[in-house]
Amino acid sequence: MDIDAVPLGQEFTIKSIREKDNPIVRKLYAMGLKEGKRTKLLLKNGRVYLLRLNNSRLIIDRDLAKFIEIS
Amino acid sequence: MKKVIKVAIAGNPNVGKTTILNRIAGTSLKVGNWPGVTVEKKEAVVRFGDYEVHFVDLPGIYTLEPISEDERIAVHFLEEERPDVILNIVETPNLERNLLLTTELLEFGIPTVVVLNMIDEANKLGIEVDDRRMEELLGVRVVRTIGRTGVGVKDILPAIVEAYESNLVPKPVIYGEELEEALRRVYESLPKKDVTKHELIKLLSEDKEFSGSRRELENKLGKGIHDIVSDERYAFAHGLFAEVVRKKGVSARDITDVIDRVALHPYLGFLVFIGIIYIVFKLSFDFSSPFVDWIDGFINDFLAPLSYSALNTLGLPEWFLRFFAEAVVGGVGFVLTFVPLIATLYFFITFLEMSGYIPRVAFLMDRFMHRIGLHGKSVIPLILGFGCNVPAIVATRTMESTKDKILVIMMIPFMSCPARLVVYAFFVSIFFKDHPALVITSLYLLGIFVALLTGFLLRKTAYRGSLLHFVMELPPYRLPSLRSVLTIVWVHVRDFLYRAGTLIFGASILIWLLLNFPPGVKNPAESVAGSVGRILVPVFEPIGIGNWKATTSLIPAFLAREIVISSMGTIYTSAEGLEPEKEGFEPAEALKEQVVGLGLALKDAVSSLLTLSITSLQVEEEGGNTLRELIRKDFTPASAMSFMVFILIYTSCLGTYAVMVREIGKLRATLFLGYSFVMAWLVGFVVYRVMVVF
Repeated sequence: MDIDAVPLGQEFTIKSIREKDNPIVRKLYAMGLKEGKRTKLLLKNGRVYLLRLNNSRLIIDRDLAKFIEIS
Repeated sequence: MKKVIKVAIAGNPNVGKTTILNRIAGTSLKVGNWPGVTVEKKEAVVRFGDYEVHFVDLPGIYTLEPISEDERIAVHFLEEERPDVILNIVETPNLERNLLLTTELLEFGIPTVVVLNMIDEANKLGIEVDDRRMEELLGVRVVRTIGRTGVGVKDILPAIVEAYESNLVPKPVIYGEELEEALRRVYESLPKKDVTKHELIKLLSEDKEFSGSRRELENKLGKGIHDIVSDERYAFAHGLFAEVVRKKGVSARDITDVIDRVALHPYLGFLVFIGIIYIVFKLSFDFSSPFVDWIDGFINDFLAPLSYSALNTLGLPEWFLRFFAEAVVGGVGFVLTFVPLIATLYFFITFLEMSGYIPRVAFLMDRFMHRIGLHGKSVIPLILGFGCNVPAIVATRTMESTKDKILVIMMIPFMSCPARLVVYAFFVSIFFKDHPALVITSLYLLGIFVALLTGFLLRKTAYRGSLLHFVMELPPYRLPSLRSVLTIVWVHVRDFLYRAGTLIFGASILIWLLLNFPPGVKNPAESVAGSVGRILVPVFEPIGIGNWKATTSLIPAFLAREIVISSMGTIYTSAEGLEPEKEGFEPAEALKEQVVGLGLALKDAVSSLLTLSITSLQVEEEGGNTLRELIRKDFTPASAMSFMVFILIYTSCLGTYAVMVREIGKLRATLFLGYSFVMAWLVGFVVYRVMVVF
């Protein structure tokens, strides 16, 4: 399942992330988005998502979100 | 002689590094509430006891693997310059994520002071950190602060000195057995033993010489070297977090989420955005207008006649009195009247920057920006362009792609800055005073349209490329303190006053000299300045600017746009012989009038804030031979609009050109200058012709 299928306001867990050699994915990792983390989809706007991760909020685009498998 | 301690300030983006430095060193470096405010390393020196502490404020980084230019600057400094002490600023509400960078910094083995910043926000979230335990585990000094209010900041300098004097090297970071074994083998094979753990990891991860050890480790653990290293660092940071955090708090829904549901709503969000722009303009114009009027009166009805009568009493020659009236009062004095407008606009821009709203526009605008091949993050430098194009261009260093960076740099100069607002305010007060907000907002929107058109054209031609991924952190909303907002506003006002006293004054002198050269010239139209202006008339006549005084004022305006107004002041005063009254001036009476006038201006400014419609720019009907009256005779509404459009679009700013040369090279910057001139002329032509017809 990917983030696109998640309804607004719902929490989910990051199951796995692909393309870990991609520098932008590594940055995402460093920003705290990694396997096992509980995350919440706050908002969608066109091709971008706003996620809540602990006490931070991250914007990621839909193409990048496709690298993330959730459960 | 004092001993020097070199301190690197490092931390995640938007954790308050610069705010804390401003508190420690009394500097007024730019701060804001979004990731990427600091894109260059900034320095400050503080004397403390026997020491001279040299701080280097580095751009924010999440990890020591840089992607963008600003991140490379920070990592390069840490790797190559070897500071004496690392001051690691940490955002306590997001401690676990921040501890990843702390772990990486500890690998350098440099005495470290960890600053747990925003401790108040962490407390509100129910997060409690055992700072003594943290000191014990890591071998560092830990200080708690609230950067915004300055709480705890006084403890930082003693902690730095203590860490330095006792050479408080952090305890070694120990990772898993397999990684440590591989690192030990790398270490043993090195002839030079003075090497940090960070360097060992880099050698193991990247150096060909150690590809054997790398492969062996990867095979043993079943994953790539980057994954191995980052997993180990995470594990360390996570373990540390579990050890030092007593209460983890709860991610409850807070005020930021509530505001964002409206401010970031795909449709409502745009209404909020437009509403905010309207309110910023309304408050800026309404609040500043009475003060603009007052300063105008203060200079022309008090300072000028006072100085003029003093100079007259001294028996100074007639040419000097003319110089004073034409270049100083007519030129510089006229530009200074707009200081309240500049200050008020910067107040609101700074407030928005520090509140956390600006990065939200990136989220909101992504839908439009990706149509020209850019993502929403590129909106941030564009918005900063409304404050000043120069730092906005520098802010593109946070962009990951060079192509995108060049493209955005070529869009920024079309974003209307306060210098342009000075020109608009002047013309609007003469020709469009019934609809100031409509005209000025239209000019701002026209600038945005030309920027988007330029971006679109460049993306389709010279800078084709696929869209990069968009990742950005959104800060929580924060109410900035009045003191920090006013500090930044003062920096901008000081800069404007400095330019008025140097660049604008210099340009006014030059224009005045050229208007009086060759010596003895009676008609300024026959002077050197007048002749050059007349040569330019055929170029600008098709766009409605057909008199030499206006074309001449455009030449020195290449230095800075507001010079067009000071030059007009000098040229018109010189050509039309405007002079301050010489007789009947009573200093005491005039001063009394000015004091009363200031009180009335304050009253008008406050009461204007209470009305909903924009009522400002209703400059007093002065009548007679004032500069505004003379401009009214020489321009029509159509030609005034065309003039403003030309000033908006043509990159008439030496500072912008210079920073463009630095960031994208002389050829590109010069080609862009030509493009902006042609575009300004074409749009000015269309606007003028359409307005003449209708």
